[in-house]
Parts: sequence; C-alpha cells; structure tokens
Amino acid sequence: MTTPDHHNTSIDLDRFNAVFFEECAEHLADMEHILVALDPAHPDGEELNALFRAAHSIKGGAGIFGFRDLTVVTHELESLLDKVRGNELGLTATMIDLFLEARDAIAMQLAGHRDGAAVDQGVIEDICRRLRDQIETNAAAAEASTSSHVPSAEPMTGFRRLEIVFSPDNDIFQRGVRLENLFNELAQLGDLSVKAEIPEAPPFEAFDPEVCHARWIFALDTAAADEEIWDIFEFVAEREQLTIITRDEQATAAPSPAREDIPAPASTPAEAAIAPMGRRAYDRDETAPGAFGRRGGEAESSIRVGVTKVDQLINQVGELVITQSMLSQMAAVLDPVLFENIHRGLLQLERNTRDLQQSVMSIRLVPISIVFSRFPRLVRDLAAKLGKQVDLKTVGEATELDKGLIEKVADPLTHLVRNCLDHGLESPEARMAAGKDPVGTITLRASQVGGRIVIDVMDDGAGLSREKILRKAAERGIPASDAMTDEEVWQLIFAPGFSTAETVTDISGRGVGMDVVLRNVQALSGRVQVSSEPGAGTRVTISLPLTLAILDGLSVAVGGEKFIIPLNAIIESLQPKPEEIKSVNGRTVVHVRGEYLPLLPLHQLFNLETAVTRAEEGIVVLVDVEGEKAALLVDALLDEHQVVIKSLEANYRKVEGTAGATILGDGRVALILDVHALLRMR
Amino acid sequence: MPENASANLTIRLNGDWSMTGVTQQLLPLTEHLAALSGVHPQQAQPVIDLTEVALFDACGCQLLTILLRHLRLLGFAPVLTNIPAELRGSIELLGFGHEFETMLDIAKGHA
Repeated sequence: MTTPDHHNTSIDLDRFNAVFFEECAEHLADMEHILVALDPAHPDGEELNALFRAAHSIKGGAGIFGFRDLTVVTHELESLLDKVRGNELGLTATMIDLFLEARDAIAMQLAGHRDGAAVDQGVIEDICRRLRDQIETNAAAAEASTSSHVPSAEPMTGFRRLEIVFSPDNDIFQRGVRLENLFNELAQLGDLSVKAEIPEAPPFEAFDPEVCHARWIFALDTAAADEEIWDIFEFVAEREQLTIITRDEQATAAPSPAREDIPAPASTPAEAAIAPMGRRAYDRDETAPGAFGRRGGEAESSIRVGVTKVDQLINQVGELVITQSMLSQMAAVLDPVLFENIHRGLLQLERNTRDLQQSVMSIRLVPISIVFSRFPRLVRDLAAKLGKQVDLKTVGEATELDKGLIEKVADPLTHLVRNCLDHGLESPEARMAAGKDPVGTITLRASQVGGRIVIDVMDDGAGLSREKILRKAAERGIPASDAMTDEEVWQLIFAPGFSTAETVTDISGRGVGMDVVLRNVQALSGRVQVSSEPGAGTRVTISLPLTLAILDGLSVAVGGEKFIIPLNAIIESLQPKPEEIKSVNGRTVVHVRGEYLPLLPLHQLFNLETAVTRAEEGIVVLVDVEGEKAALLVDALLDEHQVVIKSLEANYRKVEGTAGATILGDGRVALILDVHALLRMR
Repeated sequence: MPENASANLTIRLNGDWSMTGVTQQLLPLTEHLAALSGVHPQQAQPVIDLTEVALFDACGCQLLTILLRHLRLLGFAPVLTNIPAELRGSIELLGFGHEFETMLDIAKGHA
C-alpha cells in the first residue's frame, strides 16, 4: 500500500502552526495592552474577562496543536485570573506585575516553538509557583475575611449517571481536533463508557474520509458539574452539539444548574464574593476578539495573507502600470478621430489601472498603533526602574503607513522613547523643584502631512542643553562652535558616539542611539528633526514617505535625460526673467515674490550636456522640503506620472541625489530625484 | 479465521490512518475491493491485517468501520488480525469497539 507523504503533512502542519503562532502573539499583545492599563483599585470587569479569554484561548490552542508546555503557564495564569474576575480574589498591583511576567514567559515559550529560541525552564517553573502562591495566599486571606459573613456553599457529594450525546461538526477531523484527548479528559471525571455511531454514511465509493459522519454517546458516572463537561468540549462543540441528560441522581446535596443556565448577576457584594462566574457565560461569543476556535462556516471579516504574496501582487500591478503607460504612449501617435475607440479604451484602462494600484497599495498600509502599542509596557517598566512618574499619550494611532516602514521604524522610535525617559524627563523631585507637575508626559503623535507620515516623539522634560552638547562635541573632536544656531547644535546629537549622559546605563547613554536612529530613518528615505526649549521639553520629528513603492511625480527633461521630481515637493514652476536671476556670495539665486531661492541646475549636478545652461532659457521648478526651498533648473516640463519606484542600489549602484529610478512609458529609465539630498549637494 | 482462507484475500493496511494521511489510503483500498469483485463471498474471507498501521485516530477508525460495513454489504465476513495493542486501545477509547466486536474477538487469537 501507499506510504504517507510526510513532506506534505509537515507543510500542512507548519501552516496550521503558523496560524496558531500568529494568533497566540496577538493574544499576548492584547494581554500586555490590557494589563498595562489596568487599575488594580478599580479593575474593569470586561478587561478582566478579555484577559481571561486571551489566556484561555492560548491554552486551548496550545492543547489542540500539541504544544503542551504552553498550556502549563497559561493554566496557572488562567486559574488566578478566573478567581480575580469572579471576585473571589482582589486584584493587586503585585498580581499585575506577575501577570506581565507570566505573559513574558509564555512569549518566551512561543518564541521557542516558533523561532527555536532558548527557553529558560527555571523562569517557567518560578512563574508557575508564584502564580499558585498568589492563589493560595490570597485565598487564605479571603477565606479569613469572609467566613464570618458568608455561609459556605454546600459541597456536592452525590454521583450522577449522565448520558452525553456529542454530535460534532462534520469538519471536526479537518480542524485537527484530537478526540482521544477529549475523551481521556472526560474519563478523568468519572467512570466512562463510549459508543461511536455512524447512523448515516455515504457508500464506500462516495465516502470522503476527512468528513466526520460519526456521533458519540457517553455514559458517565460522575460527581462533576455540567460546567466541567462543557469546559472539556468548549473549543470543539457548540451548545446544540452536546446534550447532557441526567439518567440517575443519587444523594445530590446541591443540584447543579441546568446547562443553559447562566449565573444570575449577584445582587449583593457578599453573593458576588462566593459566585464565580462560569466560563461559558463569558466565552459564549466565540466570534469575540480573543475567542478561539471559530468555526469555518462563520463569516470572517478579514483573512491572513503572507506579505510576500502582497508584494508579488504589488510588483505585478507595477508592471501593469508600466505596460499601460507604454500603450498610452504608443497610441498617442494615432489619429484621435480614426482611433477614437482605442483612445477611449486606453483612458478607461488608465483609470482602472490606477484604481487597482491604489487598492493594492492600501493592502500594505497598516495602522501605526501596531508600533505605538509596545510603548505603554516599555514606559511603565522603565519609569519604575528609573523612579520617574510618566504619563504616555498617543495621538493619531489610526494613521496608516506601509507595513515595511512600520517594521523598520519601531527600533528608532524605541530608542527615542527610551531617551525621553532616561535623559529628557526629570525626576519627580526635580520637576516639583522646577514648579512642574511631578508626572512627566511623553507624547507620541502620528499624522499624515501631504505624501509623508510625520511622527513626533515629545517630552515635557528639561530640554536639550546647548552648553553640554557643545562641550561634549569639543571633547569628542566633533566640529562645533558657539556661533552655531540651536538647530545646528541639536543636530550634533546624531554624530556617531555622541552622548551627554553623565553615566552609562543599560537603558541609554552609550552614545549609540541617536546616530542609529538617524541612519535607520534615512535608510527609509526619511528625515529626523529636533527642536528643544530649555525647561519645556524636546521634540524629535521623524518624517517618512507614505509608501516605498509608488510615487506621484513630474517628469522633466535635462539634455537627453528625463528625471522625476516628486509632486509633493513641488510648489510651482516658472520661466524666470533675466532680472530675477541674481548672484549672492558667488551663488546664483532666483528672486521669486520677495524670496531668494538657490538655483540648482540639474545638468551641473548630474554632469549632463544640454543646450539650456542659463536659467532664463529654461524652466525653474520651485521645491520645498520641510521648509527648505530651492529652484531646480530643467530644460522642459514633460508630464505628470504615477511611477513605480525601482531600487537603483539593488539593480545598479547608489546615485547621489536620487531616491531610485522608474521605467517610463517609452521603456526608458528615469531617475527619481531626492530633493532633500539635492539641497545637500549644492 | 477459517482454515481455508486464501492468502491472496489478506488486506494489509499500513502507514498513516490518521487525519493527515487517511485520504491516501482510499486508492489502495479501492484496488483491494476491485480484486474482491470476482470472488464469491461464500468461498473466501477477507483478512484485514493491521500490523503495519503506524498512525491511527478517530478519522481512521471511521474509515475502517465504513470499509468493514462495505465488505459485509458485499456479503463477506471480514476479520481483523494482528491488531497492535495501542491501536486496539484507540478503538476502545473512541467507542468503535462494538463495530468490530466479533472481529476483535476473532482477532485476539491472532494478535
């Protein structure tokens, strides 16, 4: 007979595992987000439920996918959370810290399975022990405080004979559910016998072995409550797929609630203290965020697609845009009357192609909240370590930018936030002495300005010290002078190895932060600006392109070459009169409406032969990059394009003053100008 | 197993009889059934040998049940043989023991 294809099986399992890992990471992120914001004095019930669901979902998924070690910490975590949300135990700040540590331990185990990272079993055992200790210590305290007020519930001592009918979905095998594990768990509740029935099955010739036609009937002698049985099946069965019938009841002191019963809200605090909420009451809605085990038939509002597939799609659409552009150019020579239909069709094709391109590009855009969400925990932990009080504010979290940029901007932002905490914000005592609120504020703000995303990292700390920076620069041999403007002095902090920190800490102060920030941001075609006011704080502004893949530009001719100038940098274009061209300090400037703008002849910058060498003979394109203006001299303006950016470095080499290249409709390559870099070249 | 059971009626199952490999068992099973098409049920007894089954779960259990039902529908009286202890445990745990009851009893002599 055949040998199973283990290779395919392994690929399939890898795919399922990858989905579990992703979901697990999302649950962990949710947990951290909630825990950091949780107020131990006034915990929000819904947030506690969400925490429980997240832990429970990780445990359930880990069990189903066979990651047994992941269920260990989650089980202890879930047990403690269950008691807290059921008001059996009061939430404390220590518990929140412990929950965060448990979350980190689970993340470590997850990384172990996903990335092969090392897992410290000592940490796992320690966290489990501390979680158990919390339950025992607090339970003893709670019992001591409530025993005089609350009558204890009578324990259930009687056995019942139950008949349980389990009629699963017919895709239960395909969902990878291990029924043996379920039945073993059920057997632990009492004396169990199992009978499988296949009442209706298609003939062998038409039989699909992956479709489940069976149902199971269990006879169980048990003292367990129905809820315990529901818990075993909760990830695999809907309520209507499991029927529990009591066949015989003996010496039952306290009858269990009917299975449809949901615990009624406690009417008094004392009742609340003894009435833990049933899991199913909270987890009934499996479509809720954080719920696990959604059924395949249910509507999904989103699907997971690999980034490489999206990038492939973007590249293909990019090629389509180029082809469409070539067709338009070829058709331009055709008589508009004789070939009216072709022209109309090509116009329609152009519109559709652009719409398609925008739609495809939007797939790659993700909200910056993905990055911002990591900072509450970071700020909380660092503030505690540094003895500072900090309020973190985030603004514009819904601002979207390219997924590739999101991943790469996370590290620079982390450096900046750490710097704010370590160097920017003063201690509470120093702030009070300066007449400020002892609680400092760090603000992360994202917004879209034109074709760029601007991210501000601001603090209301002491601000940068001009004197200290100049002194340190002199000590390190970095060229600097007292005559420098504040803006120029602030730029010194980006010099490699520069740091004004008095002591080196593990948080920052090694002088390897800001130069790395600048390099990383520049690698994304971004810019960094700093502004600071003594006593009022510092603002670092990162400006990034909206996307790295397409650009709206104006094509211009210089000699025999064509260049693309990004539209978002262009103010206007004009043909200057001879009297508007001046020479100031040996440099040519153009006088436009009271402003003198430096003239940058592109033919000189790129060493091109052209007949147009004087400004009054050509066209000047006025550009503005973050407040810095200039006039680019070109031979002629050609057309407006949406161009697909191709990397020059990957295909040729870095060309100074350019941000890449594109293929035009006629098949020729045009360089895309990096206006900011051009301003530095003059 | 009857003394006159022909060796060429032995159906040897092997490999993955769990969710991950069960579909690959269909083709060989179909070939075995085709080989039985010319055999009179009264003259032969299919012997299903489970020695080489490596993986087995509820999905495989269901397929085995359907196979045996189909053979009985064709008039054969199949028996199971060489059932590994672990596999027998799975069959009992999953509640399919009653489907193979008589066959399991017979199989005890062969296991």
